[in-house]
Amino acid sequence: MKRMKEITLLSNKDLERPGVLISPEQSDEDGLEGDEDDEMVSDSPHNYNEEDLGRSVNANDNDEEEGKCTPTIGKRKVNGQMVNAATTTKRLETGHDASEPLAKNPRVDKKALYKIPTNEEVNQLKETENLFHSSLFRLQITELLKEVKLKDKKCQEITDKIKSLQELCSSVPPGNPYEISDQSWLQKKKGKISIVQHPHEVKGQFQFFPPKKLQICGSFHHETCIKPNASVDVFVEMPMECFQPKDYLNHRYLRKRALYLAVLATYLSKQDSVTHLQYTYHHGNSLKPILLVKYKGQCVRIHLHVGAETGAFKLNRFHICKNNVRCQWFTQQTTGESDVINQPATPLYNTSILQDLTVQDNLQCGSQSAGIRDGICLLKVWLRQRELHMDIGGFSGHIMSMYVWYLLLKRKLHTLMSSYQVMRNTLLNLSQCNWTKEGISLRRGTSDGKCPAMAEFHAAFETVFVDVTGYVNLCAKMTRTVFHRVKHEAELAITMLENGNVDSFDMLFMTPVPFFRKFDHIFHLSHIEELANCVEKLGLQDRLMDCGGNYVDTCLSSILSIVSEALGQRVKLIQMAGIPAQQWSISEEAPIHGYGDKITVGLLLNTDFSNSILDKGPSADSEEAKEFREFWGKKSELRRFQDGSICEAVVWLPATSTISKRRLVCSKIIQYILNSQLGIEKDIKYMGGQLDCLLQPQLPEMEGVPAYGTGEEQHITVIQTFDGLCKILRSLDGLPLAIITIQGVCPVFRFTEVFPAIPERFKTSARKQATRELPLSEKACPFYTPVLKVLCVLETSGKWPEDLEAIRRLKAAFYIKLGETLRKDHSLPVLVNTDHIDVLKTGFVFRISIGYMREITLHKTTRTPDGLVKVKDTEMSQEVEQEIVALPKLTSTLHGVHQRYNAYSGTARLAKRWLSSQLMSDYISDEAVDLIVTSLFLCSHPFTPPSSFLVGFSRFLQLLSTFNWKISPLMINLNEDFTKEDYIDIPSKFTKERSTLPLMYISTPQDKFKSHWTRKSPSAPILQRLVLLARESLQVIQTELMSGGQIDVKQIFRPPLGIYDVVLHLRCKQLSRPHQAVDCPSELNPPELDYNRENDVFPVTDFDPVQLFLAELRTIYEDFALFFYDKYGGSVIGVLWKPSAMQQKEFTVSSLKGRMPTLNEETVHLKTNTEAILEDFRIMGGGLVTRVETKR
Amino acid sequence: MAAPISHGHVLVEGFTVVPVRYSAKSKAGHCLYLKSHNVQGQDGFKPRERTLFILNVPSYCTEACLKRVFSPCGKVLNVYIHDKPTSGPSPPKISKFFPLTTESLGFKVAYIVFKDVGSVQKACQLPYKTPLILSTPETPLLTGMRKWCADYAARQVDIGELQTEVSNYMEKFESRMEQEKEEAKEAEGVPDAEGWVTVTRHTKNKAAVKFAVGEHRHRGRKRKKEKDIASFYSFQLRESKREHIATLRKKFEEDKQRIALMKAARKFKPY
Repeated sequence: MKRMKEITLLSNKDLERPGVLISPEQSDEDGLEGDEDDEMVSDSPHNYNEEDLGRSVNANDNDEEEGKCTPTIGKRKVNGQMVNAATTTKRLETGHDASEPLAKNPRVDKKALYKIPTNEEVNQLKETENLFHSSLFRLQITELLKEVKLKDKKCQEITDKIKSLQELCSSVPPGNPYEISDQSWLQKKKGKISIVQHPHEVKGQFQFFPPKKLQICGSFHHETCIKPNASVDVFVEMPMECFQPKDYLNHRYLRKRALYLAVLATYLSKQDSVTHLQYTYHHGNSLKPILLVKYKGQCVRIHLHVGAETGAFKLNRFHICKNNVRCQWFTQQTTGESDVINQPATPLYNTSILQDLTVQDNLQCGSQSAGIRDGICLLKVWLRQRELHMDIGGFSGHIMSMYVWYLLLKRKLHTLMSSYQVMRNTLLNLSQCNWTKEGISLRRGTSDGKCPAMAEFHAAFETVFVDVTGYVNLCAKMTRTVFHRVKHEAELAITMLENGNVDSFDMLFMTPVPFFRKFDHIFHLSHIEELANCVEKLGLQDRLMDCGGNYVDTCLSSILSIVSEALGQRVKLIQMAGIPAQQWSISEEAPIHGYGDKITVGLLLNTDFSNSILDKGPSADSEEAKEFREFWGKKSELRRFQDGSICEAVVWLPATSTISKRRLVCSKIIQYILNSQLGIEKDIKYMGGQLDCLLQPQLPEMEGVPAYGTGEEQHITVIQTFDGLCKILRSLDGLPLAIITIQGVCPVFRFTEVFPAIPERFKTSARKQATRELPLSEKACPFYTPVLKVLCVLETSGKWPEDLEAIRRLKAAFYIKLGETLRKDHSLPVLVNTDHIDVLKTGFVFRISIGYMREITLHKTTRTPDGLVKVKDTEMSQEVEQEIVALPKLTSTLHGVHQRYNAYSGTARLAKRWLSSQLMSDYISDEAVDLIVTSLFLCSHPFTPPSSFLVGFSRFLQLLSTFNWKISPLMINLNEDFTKEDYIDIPSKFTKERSTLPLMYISTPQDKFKSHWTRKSPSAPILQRLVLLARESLQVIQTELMSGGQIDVKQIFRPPLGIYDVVLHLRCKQLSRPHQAVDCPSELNPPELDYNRENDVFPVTDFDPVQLFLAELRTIYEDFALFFYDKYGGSVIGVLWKPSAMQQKEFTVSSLKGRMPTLNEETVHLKTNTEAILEDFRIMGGGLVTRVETKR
Repeated sequence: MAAPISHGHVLVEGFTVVPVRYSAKSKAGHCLYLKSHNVQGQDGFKPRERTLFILNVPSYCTEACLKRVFSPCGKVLNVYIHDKPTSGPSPPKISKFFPLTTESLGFKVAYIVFKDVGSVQKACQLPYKTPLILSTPETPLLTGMRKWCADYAARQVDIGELQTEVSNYMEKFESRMEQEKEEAKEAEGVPDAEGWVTVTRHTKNKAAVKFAVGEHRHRGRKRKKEKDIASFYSFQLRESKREHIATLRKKFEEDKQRIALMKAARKFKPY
């Protein structure tokens, strides 16, 4: 049949194109093109049916006519007739396949799929392919823009309002002339001037004249305004008559401006339609107050700016190198000579005024192109999600749109570009430029040549972006750190867009990147009014004058540079948190700075260096040594290094310090340097190690025992001991089969054990019997010694039997043999059991068991009675597979993750500690938590991988509280082993089989479809509760971090007990690890070291009475209740009755268990025998349970 | 149906309800449901007239305890405790070290075999008002700390015993395997009643293992797809382009639906 078809085709072709032979090149070309297309088509089903046929043929005819405008027809023209004939044949052939199921979606009509595309549609499809990331991205952008852009109707409303505002303003009657310093007239009107008048006296006269016009400017003018909190900038032009010749000097212009604003404010306050009237500083610039106006029923705020008419002053008067504020006036020294030449330049003051004068010039910088405008909107959303749009310490939307304009001028962008392209190209350019070194300028060649040179700008400001006129630096107030942050974010965005595997839309525009989750460590400077004293220490008096007395503005950049110099390589990024400028009512005094009560600075650590305990300086005899000494003061000392050099150095900690202390070196440095250079001491609140205390067990300091920091050293000790054991095991002789692989499978082997085992021996109440100790029921429970599980794989052998029972016995025999050898040859104490062997080595108990791969298959295989073999996953086979294949692999992979990211271990441990303290740890497996935490590191977008426990933990809570498990799988790209296809296959399989898959679906390259670690739990209600708890806890952490440590973080580790129906209180004496509790019970005596204990006697191992109790409770009362417990030293068990258990049931034999008959009722039903079950709790927990508290 | 209370005992649907207490001090306890063991088919272990069937036996109850509690009704010969109703005795313990089933906790069922026929009737008339006491100071039941400590102590195995058991088992196992092999060898080539010859893995020319329908395992021997030259003919090129447009459209439609879903979930409000 197939042959037949080919023949038909050939003959057709020959008929249509007689004598045309296909040259090799031609066919080659065909092949190439075909390949490309083939790839895209490959998964589309070939579905035609007879009915379609006629139409399609016609369609092809039309196709040919339209060929020119249809891009898909391609370069080479084809003979329409031939194609018709050929496709017809093919269709007849394939017509039989019509019964095959179509795509998943029956709604997509296949007729619609194959109809001739219209020109428009083709363009759109093509555009999507070429201009956007993907069609989904495009649709998402459209939806997002719909959501944030102002509606046309709204815009019209606003324009109307502003027209009415203009009428209002021009109807303000002109005032009388007054001296500027005489403001009694304003007080009569109950107005307040919105600027700090320091010093108060200033020459000149002020007279109010109504404004000539109101000009809409800024984002609303350019139609790039975004919701929510949209604001419209309106510029009110003060007419020429208001000014006098020397108004540029000594704040006169600024005072007049403020007075003008005050007159408008008092006038507007009498209008009924105005509901909200407040002052604020424009972008936090305390020289430039603006008025916020809100109309009744309008959510849009109008920002009323006031400024001089264009041409009121010469721009050159405000050249950034000129002085316009005289020292004598500012310091009120009447004695000094007025020396005009030696006055310091006042760039900030000048720029503030220039901004008003150049409003009209900069208005032209806007584009009518929809793509550009939408692109700017997207960029603004992007900024906003990163909290970079703030007034103070932000990168305003205005600067962003100016930058887009700049790129348009530089031909990096084009007006025909789509919003996606604009966004992407802008970010790309942003990530590659550096305005702190090479500033950019919008100035055109035509403007006058007197404007400042680039070098002068760089000398005066940290970041430089010059406007159209060439006089104004748009980034005058931006610190270097802010620019670096924006650049850093742009770099991240570009890598994200380049990585096809992440949902970049979500990460770029939908996920908030709050400050406290972005930075690893944060510190607060409270009492910022103290900074006034620092001005002199830093020698910034001139700058103070430039800033008009705003000491915070004056000192801020110096403080940041001191900190960043002190930290050097330890940090990748430093940034002050952006804050919205303060707002105040029009009848209040203006605040001296707009900062509120504290400054918050974030540090993004570079973990390669951040923990080093020593800063090596220049060599002692070099030039720089002096500088170094000056900077570090008395902390600097001479040291001889291993390579023989003698250098200046600063030592922060002794070499014996624990890792937990080293992690906080940065805090020490900041404390020291701010104290020594600025005298700030108490006001620094450093947020970095706040949660460390939860990883520290309450153990006393012990002689001869290494200090317990947060457990890192203990992990290392365990692993070292394990390595020793491995060596022994590998070298064993006389075993029937050699051991080839040895792998630890406990969390401790992947550095994620909350409290790693410690080898110390404490005084114990246990009874010694032969080679081991036994617990005694009447005495206190012995100190908990965990077993460290180790899995061994033996060399392959054909002699294993094909029978599970026999394998079990052979393994036992192997354990006996192994035990014998270890005892005899290496004198290690061992305890042999039927399914494992315990080995005691330097205080640790290793539990070795053997994994035999064939067992999995044997568990899977069943034999039907007629001798057929069936292979099927069974519960048992999955469990075995998990234990001997998945777990060792996972452990070694995660160990690798730990070595790559040093905050991994701490984050995972805190996450587990938290889950456990919320009594949830038994409902979500250890491995699942480790994996979720791994995802924070391997797929950290839109952040960088966390470098501190605190931020890692808060991102864990964030993930837990926001991840939508219902509709998306959590894909963790361990070892980057996922292929591109996996990213398509796994989600599609997930969507298809959602209902049968575990609730929390975690997919890794090693375990793509099974989600081993969440197979059984958590259940829906538990997950729901987890989400709730995570959200609440995150809130607490956030407040804690942002407030500067005023609340107790431990509170999120104390479970609310009110929700439980019954609470079982346990006897502290019988807890095996009370020292791990969040709040250690006070009646507990700290464990004491026992120096006399024999080292070859097995301690009481893996004996935790509460766990035994819980295991009993959970199996017996599975149908009745859920039990919650904090395995790290919890002293209560929470019990929740299952709703189904509380219902009365029909009297049936199957539901008799645990129930009693209702005898007093008409019909006998069964109800749960709650009283008896509570009594059972007491009986079964005999010696352990002290009180059964019934809450409900 | 109201609970008929007569002579102090409570009878519900044929079951006598007898409350028990763990100890004399306990304030509450479970109820046992008693019934005469009355099933079809005779079985030597649980004779029909003399066996009492009990439901809802608390997990800490032992055979000895039940024997003691029910001896006032008559001489108890045997007590069986099972997870669920079973005929016959509990499966014999083949191995001390390798139990086939793990001992399960939870509420159980019990069978008590009396010596006399009348005892069952007597037990079924136990009064509702006076609960049975399970644990007395003389014969305490092991629970809580004491049980766990005892369990811990019992965890250790005697290596010698274990070794002997393993050796014995393996010996038996091997001889059994040997025997099977022999049998198979003997059966080789011998046609059965219908004339079929069974081919086993011991046959010289090994036959494939028989798999049930649909259980054929993929051996990774995928046949290489025939490479056909796409776009060899120009109609193929055109076809593929049409397909391309169709895929784009399909994807577009799918994406639109995804967007609609997201929109429904209000996923586009950025803040």
